[in-house]
Amino acid sequence: MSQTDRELLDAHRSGDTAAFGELFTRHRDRLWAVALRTTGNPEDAADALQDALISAYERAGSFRGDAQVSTWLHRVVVNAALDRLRRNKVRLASPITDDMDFASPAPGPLDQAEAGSMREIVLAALEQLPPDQKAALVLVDMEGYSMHETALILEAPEGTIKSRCSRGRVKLAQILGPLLADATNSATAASDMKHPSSRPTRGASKQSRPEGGAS
Amino acid sequence: MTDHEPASQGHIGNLPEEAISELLRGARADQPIPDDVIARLDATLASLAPPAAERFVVAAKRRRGPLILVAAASVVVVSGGVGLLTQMQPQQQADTSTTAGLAPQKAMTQGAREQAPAVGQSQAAGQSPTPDESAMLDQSAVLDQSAVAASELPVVRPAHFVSDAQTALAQPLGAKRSASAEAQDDASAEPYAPAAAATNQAGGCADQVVKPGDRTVLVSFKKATGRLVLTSDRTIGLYACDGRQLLHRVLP
Repeated sequence: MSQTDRELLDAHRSGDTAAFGELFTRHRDRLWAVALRTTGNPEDAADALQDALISAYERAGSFRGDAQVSTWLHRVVVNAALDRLRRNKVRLASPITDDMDFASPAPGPLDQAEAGSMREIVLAALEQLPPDQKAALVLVDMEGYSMHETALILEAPEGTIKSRCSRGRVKLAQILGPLLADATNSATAASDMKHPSSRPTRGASKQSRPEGGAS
Repeated sequence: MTDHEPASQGHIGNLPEEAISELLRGARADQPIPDDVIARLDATLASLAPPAAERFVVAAKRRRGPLILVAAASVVVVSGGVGLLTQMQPQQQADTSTTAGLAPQKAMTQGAREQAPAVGQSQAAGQSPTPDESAMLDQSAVLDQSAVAASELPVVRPAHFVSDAQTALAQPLGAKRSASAEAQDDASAEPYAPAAAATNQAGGCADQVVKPGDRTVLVSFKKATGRLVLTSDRTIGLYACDGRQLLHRVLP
């Protein structure tokens, strides 16, 4: 019979060196997903997950037990990911140097994503959100946590989490609206080109009718 | 807009919130953690293990810290108590041996005890003196010699040496006050009558001459304090307090 998360954490706190590895491995994939979606790239996600591993390992003694161990682990990972985002932001805001080339600005994530799939477009748009809104949407909409669980992970009231999610969706809609329209049109056009008779739109039927009527 | 403002409308332009949520759900990361990241985490975990074990020892020590403090405090208190008992034990033995006439230098006359009533309160109550009281008793035993000689000691007159000495030596222990009161009563009629402050516990006065089995008492002789000693062969000797000088002797 396998040990519960709490039992593994207690064993780790008692000096069992293998217990924490087993606990972290148990939640590793989901923690990775959260780190990856919060940071937005695999490199930062790996760094954040490593930071979180070290932090959780060393601070296991401070776990108060007022939440589930998995919730606590997610909290550590999200905090590590947000810390890395802040560090990246500071790095991006570092002083301008003489050798910078302003003639050809680097393409933004949306520019890069425009050529990709819908999934990449959505992820690129997610990168435009403030970190707190992004973290809330990653946990609620992407990972499927409830508002209550997310509030525990982010250590904020549920009302605040709802508000962050709502404002994040508003901003995503503003970003994605034109792109989705273009993508939808492109997809429709491509589909029409491949299967001209398989997507009989209302407009197309209306169009054919006058044509038919004309003939 | 703040975090606590209510959520906005359900439709955002052309896209409802539900649609955005659906898009986000479709974009979730469903691929497992890459192998290289797993290897990196395993290496990190392996590097953490030994120092962390030491940290847990430290943490355990911290948790035990208050207990150790309490234990240390208990040790200090107990050792202090043992030390006090060790200090008190010789004093009690000295008192006992003084009572038997073996160490009179540690003793104090009954009169001196009455002149320092505060010091002897615990003894009067049948308790052992505290260390402070013991120290004060020792000090007062030394300081009281002149006072004892001046007022309380039985007077031995040179002309009536034998009778005065026998009277002084015959005073029962502990009968000092009543005898003293009687002496006071008689003082008007007999100014040289022994004050009957007889005790075998006189200390600090020629006590070297006292041997086991001797009966001894401090007396006033020619306005000076002396030690009267009755030996087992019934010899009565009077010694000066400032040495072993024999002032007077009466053979049996």
